[in-house]
Amino acid sequence: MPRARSAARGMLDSRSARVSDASSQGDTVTARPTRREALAAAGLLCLGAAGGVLVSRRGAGESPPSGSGKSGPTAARTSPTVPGSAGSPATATASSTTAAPVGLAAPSLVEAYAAEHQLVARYEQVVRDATAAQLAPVLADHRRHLDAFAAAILAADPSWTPQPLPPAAASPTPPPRPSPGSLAALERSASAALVARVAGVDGDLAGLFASVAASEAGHAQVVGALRWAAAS
Amino acid sequence: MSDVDALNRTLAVEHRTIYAYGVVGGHASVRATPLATAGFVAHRARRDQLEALVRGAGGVPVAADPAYAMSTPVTDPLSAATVAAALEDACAVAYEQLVVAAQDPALRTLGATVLVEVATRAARWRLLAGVSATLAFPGRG
Repeated sequence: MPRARSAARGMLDSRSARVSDASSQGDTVTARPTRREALAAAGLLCLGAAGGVLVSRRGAGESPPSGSGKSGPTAARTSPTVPGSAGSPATATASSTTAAPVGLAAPSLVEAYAAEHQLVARYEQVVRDATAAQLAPVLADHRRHLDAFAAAILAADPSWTPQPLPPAAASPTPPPRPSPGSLAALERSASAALVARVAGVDGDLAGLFASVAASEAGHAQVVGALRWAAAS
Repeated sequence: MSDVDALNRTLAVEHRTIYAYGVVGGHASVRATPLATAGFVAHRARRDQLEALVRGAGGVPVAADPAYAMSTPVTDPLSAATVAAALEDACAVAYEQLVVAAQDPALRTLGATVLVEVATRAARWRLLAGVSATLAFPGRG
């Protein structure tokens, strides 16, 4: 089971689901809530010093959530569909990264691929020396995004040919190293663009756009926290 | 799955998260307390929003359980940050599923927006915990 989904299932189990789940997951599951947790649930304990969190009491004695366990992380997914895309000509941006024919592929998907392609190319240009180790995980994520978008396009149009990334050494004069803040801004912008695309697609493709948007937002936090020397 | 069912499934996760954030808040470091408070407030607001959406669609919002078992003990600031990150990851799964299941485009946009929010907080918690903060596909494993 993928890690995040496993965490989602195992992190917290409602008491009604705990007995069955505990035996199968091997998680450290308490037999019952601790006294502290019970007090917190009753709204009697203000947790945390210096502006800590006050837990309110909600729903005591009411039936447990009915949704939990019905459709877990392994729930079947719908096929990626893009309303109105079938048979329509691709209207992707004129980026060189989308020069290959796209056939039936969704315009928004191809545009997302192109944007991700540009992000990867940008990181390829700036990841060097001291920044390499710091930015490598982010670059690896972007490459996975690119692969996922390419796979989704190919699923819609098997004749589509992904554009290869330019080699990192192709540029005779490496661009100046951007500030962490500017990279964070790029990530936030990419995230917002993907969120804006979600309404226009549905099913698994919408989930992919949303997930990648979330990843980019997380990247913004990571690269924004980086520090490196001004000189490259 | 109807949109009401998808909303209620997400709401159930928010109930658990709000409860657990109370536990996390009790052990968060001084540095992490603003993030814990912000997370708690944000999740309560999303819970209220989800409840309103369910009612608006003619459904009945699922209620919170009286208490939830913590599968990972929270005993100090580090475990608090680790658990908080996992809580946000769990929410990411819920909201990604909402995006996938929702028939209403506005609901998909809402799901994506909140997915971005929770992934952002998850990254901040992981930074505080000193672990790798990036995930390629939050909510999808």
